Amino acid sequence: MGEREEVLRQLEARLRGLCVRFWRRNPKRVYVDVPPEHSLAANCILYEEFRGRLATASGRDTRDRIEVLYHYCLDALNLVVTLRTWGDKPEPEVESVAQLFPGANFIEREIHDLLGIRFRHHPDPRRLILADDWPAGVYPLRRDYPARGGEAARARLVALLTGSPQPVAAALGTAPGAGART
Amino acid sequence: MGLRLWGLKKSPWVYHVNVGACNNCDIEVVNCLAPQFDVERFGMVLVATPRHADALLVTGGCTRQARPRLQEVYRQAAKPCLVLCIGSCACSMGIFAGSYHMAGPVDEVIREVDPQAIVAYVPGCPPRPQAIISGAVKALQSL
Amino acid sequence: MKRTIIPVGPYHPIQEEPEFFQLVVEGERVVDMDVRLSYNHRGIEKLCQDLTYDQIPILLARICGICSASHPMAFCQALEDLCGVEVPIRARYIRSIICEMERLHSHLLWVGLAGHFIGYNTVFMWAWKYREPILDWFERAFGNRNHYENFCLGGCRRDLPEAEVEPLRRLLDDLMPKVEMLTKAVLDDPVLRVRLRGIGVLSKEDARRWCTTGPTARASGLPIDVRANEPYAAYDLVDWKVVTQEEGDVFAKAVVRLLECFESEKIIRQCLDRLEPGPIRAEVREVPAGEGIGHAEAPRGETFHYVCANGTNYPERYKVRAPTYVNLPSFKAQVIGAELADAMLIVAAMDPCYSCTERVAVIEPRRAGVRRLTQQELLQMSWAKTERIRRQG
Repeated sequence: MGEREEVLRQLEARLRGLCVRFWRRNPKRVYVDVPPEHSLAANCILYEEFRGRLATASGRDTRDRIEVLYHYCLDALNLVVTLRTWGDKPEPEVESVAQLFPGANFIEREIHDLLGIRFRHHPDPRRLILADDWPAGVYPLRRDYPARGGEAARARLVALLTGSPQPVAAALGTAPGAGART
Repeated sequence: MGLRLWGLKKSPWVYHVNVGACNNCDIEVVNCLAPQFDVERFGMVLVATPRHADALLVTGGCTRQARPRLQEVYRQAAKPCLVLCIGSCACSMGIFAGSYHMAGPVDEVIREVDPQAIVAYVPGCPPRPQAIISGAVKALQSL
Repeated sequence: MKRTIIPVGPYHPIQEEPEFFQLVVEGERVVDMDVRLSYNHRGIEKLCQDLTYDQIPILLARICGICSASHPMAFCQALEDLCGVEVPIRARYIRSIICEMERLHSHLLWVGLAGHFIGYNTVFMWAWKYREPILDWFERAFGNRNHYENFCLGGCRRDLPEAEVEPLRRLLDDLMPKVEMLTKAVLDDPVLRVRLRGIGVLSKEDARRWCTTGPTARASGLPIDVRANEPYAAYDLVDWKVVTQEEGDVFAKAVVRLLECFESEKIIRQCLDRLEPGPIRAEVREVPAGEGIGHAEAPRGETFHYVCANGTNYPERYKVRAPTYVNLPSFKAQVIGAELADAMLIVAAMDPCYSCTERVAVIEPRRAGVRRLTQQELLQMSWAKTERIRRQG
C-alpha cells in the first residue's frame, strides 16, 4: 500500500497544471478533472508514464456539456484513476485519445454515436453501434432523448401491454412493407 | 398432406438466427443438439443456410439493425417455413421492450413481409431445452 | 496480388451470435480486418436510467447469457463502491462460488466450440455434455439454469441451500477428472499442437496497446485478473493463482482457460469448506448521489461498470463495458498475416461474447469481384487444414 500512496503522489505532481481537481474519493478511486485542452496530455501521462490500462470511457450529458470520463486501471496498485474531460454544447468536441493507442478507438466511436461529442483526429470516426438506418444527429443517450424510445415506442409499449395490435412500421416511422434494406 | 410437408414433419431442417439475443436461448438451442437432449435422433438438423430450412429458430428481440436481415433470411427460406420464436425476447421483446434500438418482436417483423407467416412461440428466459423441443414438436404437428 | 474481401456473417450456425467481420485477403492470407457492431445493440444503458437499483441487476443478467453473473457482480461492486457497503462474509463466499461455477461452464462451452471449429466434434459433444450437471445444479440451487440472478446491492438475494452443498462437492469430484482428461487431450495431442501453435499471436505489447483483458491478455503474458488486482467477493480469502502463458497464440489461450478451470475448482472447494451460517445481505437504506466504479472478472475478462447516481432510486447514468468489447478489436492484430483457414479459430480463441459487446458486424458495400464465403465454408477450410496436419503425422 505504501507503493500506491507514492505513485499517487507522483501522479498528482505530474498532473498539476493540467488538471483543475485531483480528488481521491476513496482508497481505490481517484477522479481528476482535466479541461479539454489538456486531455490528450493527461491521457498520455496515464497511459505511457504510469502504464495505466484504459478499461473504458463513459460519456455523460450534463445539460451544458458532454463529459467523457477515461477510466484507467493501475492493476498492480488496486487503483482506478478516472480522467474527466468535457466538450461544451452546442458543438461538443474533444481531442481523440485513439491517436495514442488503438484500445481507445471503439469506445470513442460509441460515445460519439450515443452522445454526439466529436473526437478530433480520431483515426476512424465511422458509426459503430447504431443501426445503418438510425437518423444522423439523434443521440439516444442525451438527456432530451426520452427514456423508452420516445412517443412511438411508448405507444407501442402500451399497445403490447394492453394487447392491441400496432405495426412495427408505424412505431419506427417507416412505410409498412418497406422490407429489407441492404 | 403433400410430400414436402410430410418430409418436413419427418425430419425438419432448422436454421438458427439470433436477431438480438443475450445468447442464453442460443446456447439452449445448441444444447438441444448436445448428447443430453440430442434432437438429431428426431431427425432435427441444424443447417447452414436458410434456403435449406423448413423452420427458422429465431432468438432475441429484433434490433433495428437486425430487422432487414431477418426479413431477408425469411424471404430466402423455402416455404412453407415455420418461424419458431424461442424465448421471451423473441416472443415479445421481453425485458428490452421500449428500448430505442429494438424494432419489435420477431412475429411483427416477419409479418411485415408475410402477413400469413406461420409463427409459433416458446416463451421462457431462457426456455429449457425440453420446452424448446416440446414447442417445436407441437408446432410441427399442428401444421 | 489481388485483394478480395470476405464478409463473414451476419448469421451462421454454431457461433450463435450475429456478427459481421470483413476479412480482406490476398490469396489465402488475411491482410486487413474490419468489424461492425450493431446487431445486438439493445440500448441497455438507456433502459437502466428507467429502472431502480433493485431492478437493474435483473436486466444486466440478460446482457449476456454466459456471463450472466458477471454483470450483476460488477454492478454490486460499483454500487457498493458508491455506497461504502460492507457485504456479509457468507454472501462473499456465495458470490465467489457462483462466479467460479460460471467460469467453469463457460470455459467448458468454449472448449466445445473450439473443438468444433478445429474439427474435433467429439470434443464438442463431450464438453457440452459435461457442462450440463453444472446447469442442473444452478437450477436446483437458484432456480434457473443460466440467469441465476442472485446478486443485489449489499449481498445475495437467495441463500445457498444447505442441501446443495454436498451435491456440489460431488459434482466437482465427478467433473474435474473429465476436465483433466480434456486438458491432457489438448496438451498432449501432437496434431493440436501443430494446428494451434503460432496461430493468432497477440504480442504482449499489442495486448497492452489494445487494452485487452482476461484469458486473451493473460495468454500474452499480462498478469491482469480483477480477482487478484482488486479482490472482491471471497477471492482474497482463499488460495488460488492467476494463470498466464507467454506465447499469446491460440494454443496459449486454450491452455489458460483449461488451467483456470482447476483454479476455479480450488476456489469453490475452499469457499464451501468455509461457509458458516449468517446473514447474506447488508441493509442499504439509500443510494447517495455520487459516482461508483466496479469491475469483476468474467470468464472472458474484465467487466467494468460505472454508475453516476443523483440521490434518487434511479441512476443518472449507468455505463456497462463487457470484456469482449475491448478484446474484439485486438482480433485485428491477431489475424493479420494469418491464413484464411485459421481465421475462425483465431476469432474463437478470444471467446467472443457478442451479446456483451453490443455486437459485431461489418459493413462494407459489395464491390465487383468480391469473393463471398459463408461461415460454413470457412469452417470447412479449418477442418481440412486439421486433416492435412493429421495425415502428415
